[in-house]
Amino acid sequence: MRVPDTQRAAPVLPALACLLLAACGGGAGSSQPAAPPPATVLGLTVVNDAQWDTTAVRQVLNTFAYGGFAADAQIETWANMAPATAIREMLTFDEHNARLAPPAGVDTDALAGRAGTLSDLSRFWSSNDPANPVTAALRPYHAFPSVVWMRAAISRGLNPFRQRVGLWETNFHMAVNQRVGVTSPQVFRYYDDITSALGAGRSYQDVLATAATSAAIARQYGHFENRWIKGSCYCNEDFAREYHQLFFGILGAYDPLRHETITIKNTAAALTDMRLAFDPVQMDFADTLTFGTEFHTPGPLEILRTTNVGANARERIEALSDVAIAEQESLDALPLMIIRGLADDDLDAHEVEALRRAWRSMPEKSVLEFIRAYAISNLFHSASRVRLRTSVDRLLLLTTRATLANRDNYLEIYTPYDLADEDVQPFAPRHNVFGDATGAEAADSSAVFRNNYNRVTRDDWRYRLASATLNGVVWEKDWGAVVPRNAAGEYRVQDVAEWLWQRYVADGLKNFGPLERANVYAFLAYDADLIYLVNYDEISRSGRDPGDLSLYDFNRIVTAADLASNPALQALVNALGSQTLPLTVVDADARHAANARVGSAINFIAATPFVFAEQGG
Amino acid sequence: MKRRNFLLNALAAGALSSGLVPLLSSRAAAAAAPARVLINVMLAGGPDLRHLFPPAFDANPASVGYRFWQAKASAHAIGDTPASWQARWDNDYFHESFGGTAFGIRANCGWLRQFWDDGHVAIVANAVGARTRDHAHCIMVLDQGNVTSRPLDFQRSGWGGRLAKAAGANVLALTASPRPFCFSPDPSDPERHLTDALIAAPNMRDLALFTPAPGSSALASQARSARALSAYYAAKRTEMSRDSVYYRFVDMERKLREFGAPIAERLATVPVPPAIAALAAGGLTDPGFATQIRNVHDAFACADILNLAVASIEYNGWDSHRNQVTLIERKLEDLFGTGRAFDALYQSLSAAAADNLVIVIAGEFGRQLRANGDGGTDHGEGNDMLVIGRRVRGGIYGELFPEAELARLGDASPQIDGLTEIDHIFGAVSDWVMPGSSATVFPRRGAARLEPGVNLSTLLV
Repeated sequence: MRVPDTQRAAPVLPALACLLLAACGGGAGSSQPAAPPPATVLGLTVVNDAQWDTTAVRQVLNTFAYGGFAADAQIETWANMAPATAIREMLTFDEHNARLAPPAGVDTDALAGRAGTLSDLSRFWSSNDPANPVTAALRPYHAFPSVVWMRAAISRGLNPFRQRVGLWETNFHMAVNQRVGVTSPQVFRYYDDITSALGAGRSYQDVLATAATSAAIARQYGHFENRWIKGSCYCNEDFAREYHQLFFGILGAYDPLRHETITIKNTAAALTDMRLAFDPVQMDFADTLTFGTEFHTPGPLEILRTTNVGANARERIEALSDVAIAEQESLDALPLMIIRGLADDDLDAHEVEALRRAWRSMPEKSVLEFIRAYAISNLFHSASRVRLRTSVDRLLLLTTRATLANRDNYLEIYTPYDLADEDVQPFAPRHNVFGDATGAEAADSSAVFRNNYNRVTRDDWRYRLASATLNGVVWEKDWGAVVPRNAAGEYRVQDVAEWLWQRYVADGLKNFGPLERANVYAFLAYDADLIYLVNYDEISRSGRDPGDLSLYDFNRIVTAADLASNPALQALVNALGSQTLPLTVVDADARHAANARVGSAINFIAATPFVFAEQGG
Repeated sequence: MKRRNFLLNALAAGALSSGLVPLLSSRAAAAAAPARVLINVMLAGGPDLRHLFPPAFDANPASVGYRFWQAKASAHAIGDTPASWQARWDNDYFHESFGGTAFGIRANCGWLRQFWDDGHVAIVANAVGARTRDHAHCIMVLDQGNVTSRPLDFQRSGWGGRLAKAAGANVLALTASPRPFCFSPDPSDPERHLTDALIAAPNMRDLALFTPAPGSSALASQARSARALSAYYAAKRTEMSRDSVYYRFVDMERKLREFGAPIAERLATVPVPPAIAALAAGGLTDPGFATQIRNVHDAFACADILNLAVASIEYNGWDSHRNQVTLIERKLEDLFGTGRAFDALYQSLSAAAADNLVIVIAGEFGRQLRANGDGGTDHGEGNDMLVIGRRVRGGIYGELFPEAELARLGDASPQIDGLTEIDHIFGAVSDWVMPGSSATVFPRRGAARLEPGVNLSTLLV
């Protein structure tokens, strides 16, 4: 449902003025008449009104927030706003985003009112606080960043966009790895410092400098032992090289030999006397560095063809980051690293140039403004955009789609611990500093496909579970609370099927073809597979006993062409689609069975090709 | 240059896809004979293979054997005295020589030493792919076997995929996720790849999709879900365009269904050999590599099902900026030690399979000639590469310790000069696996740099 532009303009104004300032470098004064929504932001063309609909909103959320938890009404509201206004509500770096991740009424964790850094959440979820719903036996595991991060990303009351970008920064872009000795406190501090810097609106070079001067990075690369002693650098070049290459995308194209023999050498010299103390209380290394001068390289150093000065490593890195962010190679590489990392595996030359222009257009680089501009642009909403999902992307999306309240995950019904089955663990990236397994790797991995397939067939209980008493808690699935009813107040199979497909796949039903439709209908209507129902139907119509399974051809295949040409099949599918689901009836058995049917349909959808990748448009 | 590279890539892709590969059918025609198989081993991180093969210590301060140990002493965690270098050389290395070059093999690599003595190990010195010393770029170039690839050309095909296509066979990825080495060329676009010849098998013994146990109810929820998906994917194969971004998943399902059950059936009758089982039971420090070696064994047991010509494994983590001895020596032993990975593999293969196996071992770049100040070595350019197998003509190809390096030891970043480009090394291997294939797998081989005096045409017999 859409509203006229005239109704939309009023609430848009304040944010719009702000946007215009960002995009144009000033202008829109308060006395000006209402301006139309911007046609471009950071030079990227904003999608038009017709394209910005609930599907577009869902696609943004699926890509950047693991789907989020916004209610359908909120999604509708965003779809009815100007994109540039809506996106400022959808994507924020605050610890909480009440529209994106509203708390559920049944939850008692009060996350929306608690501090939302990983460190804070770790303390809460590992504590014996009476409000902590985590099962006692699992609380100790919440001392580990991977567990806390995963729970944070799938929890209402927090902000999944913050966790999505936080994971990319710390596991792909500037990856640290607990398998090589980075400690949990160091990871918590690293993640929180980066996301807090993003949340505070600090420039991107400040964010990267924060990361570069962290204990986690020093532990990861080992340069905390670099010393300048009597004119010699007792150093390794590991982070000196990767600071430029991985953090900023600078390979040294300006002069490869100079980069190799001067910039990298001198960056190693700049990274001296960064001390990582051993904490005798914690019996572990500290989670922050101190920056000494005794063993720090004195005097100016040539780095990236500029003179770098500073009394200690921190001062040098902060100064250097201001230089590096403006280096041409970085200007070219960083916007692509961000978008490839988050949203598009297949940028063409036109898209590359547009993204570079957008990045260059920001006098001070803001990754938030850049992502926002991109997320409402015709680049993101183009059918040519393809994002192959990582295991984390896919499993967390499936989890948030099923999570109606945090209680579901405190009872560990959907929590995607099976990430490990796909050889993935946050903060233990597969390629060490070069990042975790990419979406392309996941797409080529038979282990990933197989795990996904088996978790909805062999382990089909997860989404089918409709009621249980778990850890003394009586739990019941209530899809009826969120699935829309038709005008008659019924949950009609066809409507529920389309709603589910949009909730999970969000493609405007583009890929919800006859075959998908027939299969989802079958599960929703009778908790049965299409092949069984086709057999049943044919056997019944032939006058034989449909209870005799020996008459069934379970190896039969029904194609879309069959569905298009066979009137009996069409009639069957139509009949299935017109069934209703008793999702909220008083009869508990019937209600539970209906919710289980929704779960069966989810199991089917979650194993189609369309959960492994997303396409724009 | 870009156009020329584009055309070279197009030539490779077009020729492979249009059936122009010489002797394309000979492999199939010779099905009765054991097929030749390449195992490509990626050592990501940039291994210091001079640590594995150092020059003999020489007390003459002007000699290579003295200056090397002087420059690398701290990376060997030894003192800065000739006596320390002498002791390290005497105590920790097998002493070997070839063509007048005296060199060592790390003493914990007993299997490698034995294979060398048997004449089955070729050391190609001064080998190089990309020269940027950038891990990601150099790994990509090594996987692709394409030194023309720039840092963002990551969609191009891999040389394993091209070779498998040329051989009319499949490439088997035995790693957690397939390396780009395994990607075959897209005939419609030389800048992109396909995965049509790729079989991904990170665990050969756990490959099949779930199917309900025999005798279980056809009406159970698991049976209903599995039946629905099996029928659905079968139908999608008939209707989804191969150009769809989603087709790869439909094809993945097909391969798992096609190969999973037969392989499971076959391997149910093939016990894991004790030598290989021991690897997983603590025999290797990296359990993931133990799984890969078991996968290689299992792949040979299923070679007919898989139509196997090329397989890919990896052992990562060689980026030894600090504590090099601790970091890489256990890895070297994992690979080459007595009773370790390759020893166990060869013990477990049939004689025919072992005779028709060649193993290529390479990292993306080498290390600098001089240790850094942190007990390690930083990124360099050239490196040694290894080609191992019973059909390999063992020896050293290229000058193992060029005298010219001595003059560079004082440079800011002294490195091994990359003199022989990978096209020549991998091209020779390709031609052995599938005669004539290097013309399409490595189309720029004729223009690739080759160290003077080196002849790789007889690398394999």
